Amino acid sequence: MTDGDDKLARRYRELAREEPGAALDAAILAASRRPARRASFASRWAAPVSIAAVLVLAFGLTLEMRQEEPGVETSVPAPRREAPPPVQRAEPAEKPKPLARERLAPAEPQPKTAPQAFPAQSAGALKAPAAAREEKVPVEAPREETRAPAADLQRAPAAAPPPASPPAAGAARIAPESLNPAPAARAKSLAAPAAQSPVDAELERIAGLRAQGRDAEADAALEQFRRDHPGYTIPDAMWDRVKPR
Amino acid sequence: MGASDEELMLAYAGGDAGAFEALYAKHKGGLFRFVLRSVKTRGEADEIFQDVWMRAIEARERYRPQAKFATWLYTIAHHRLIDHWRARGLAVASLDDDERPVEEPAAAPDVEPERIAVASQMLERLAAAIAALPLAQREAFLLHQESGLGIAEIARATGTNEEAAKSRLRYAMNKLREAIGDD
Repeated sequence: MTDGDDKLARRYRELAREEPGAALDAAILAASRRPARRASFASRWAAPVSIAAVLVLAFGLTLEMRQEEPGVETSVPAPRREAPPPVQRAEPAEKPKPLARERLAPAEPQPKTAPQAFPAQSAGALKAPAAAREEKVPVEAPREETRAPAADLQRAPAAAPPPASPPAAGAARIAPESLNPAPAARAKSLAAPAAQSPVDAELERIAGLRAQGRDAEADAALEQFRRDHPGYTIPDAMWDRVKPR
Repeated sequence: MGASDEELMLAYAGGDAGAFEALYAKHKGGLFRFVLRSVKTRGEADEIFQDVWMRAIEARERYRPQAKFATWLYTIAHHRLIDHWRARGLAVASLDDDERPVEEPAAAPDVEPERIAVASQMLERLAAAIAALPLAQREAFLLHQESGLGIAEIARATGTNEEAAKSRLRYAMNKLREAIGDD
């Protein structure tokens, strides 16, 4: 510290004599003697329950994505093996193309109706594309086909035109999909809460209250948040959403 | 040699009310002046000062001595002041804005009329110069003077890096020395 700094510090000391009032001292000391406020049941369990929920969601999502990843995970061929080839259909061999279109074209909107599908129905649904596959794919190489559908398409281009390939490739996965439709949208909705910390979640809740015009509740929640997290700096963007009106 | 601040706070968390009184007696003046010079009126200072101590009291069971007690206490004060400034439309991002007249010098006499009245002219100039400092520089200066925190602890309390804290403190002291004619 330089001499100038010392001088400035001395001058400042001459200036700085203010103290809090006696009433303020008394109020703070009285508060300090009160026993620690016990957290309510909800606030005591909020963090562990949130963390558990996030973990369960993340685990479920991971499992789901592993199942749905084609050609990578070993779990993919399993449902295909469980679904035995249906009774040999006596379809006329001379009309493979129109048949494949007939079958596969209605199969495309299936994901939209799949939410209502029950397991029994989905088993039925499994038959149709499996049958279509039966017509297109040589029986002797089913496993290879699931691993590399594109290669099969090259081998049998007439039987499986490119537009029909997504439903055909998804034949082995129909059961899980019909039980859990729209995986991409669901993954998105699950990923959002999974990435949120309990602190963020609480701030979001306060922002929600504020957005609904429940300012009194939002004020109380913000105050509680400040008490629970005295060292946390609320980001500017979030502050704009939660600040007292 | 008495117990450290951290030991006192832990003792308080363990139920020793006397430990808190010792802590309060030691830090109340510095914290109060830090808050007082960071806001415009004594009423605001009283409210924020009380709120900071209440938060410290309520957080007693979660207190862990990972840093000096003073750093922890002034971090709470810093966050409370940020809320205060934000509520008055002062963007935290502009804390370092050296050009912006954050608190105009003319506002200084309103801060503490009675104090200014009895102070010497030089002290008046010093008070006005402190009030005229940009928020971040003023905060760094007050933390240094009132809490005795070093550069690293100021950086930690204000959530910045040491270089920025050092720079803010240096700018502030240069301006204040200039204001009181010590340049």
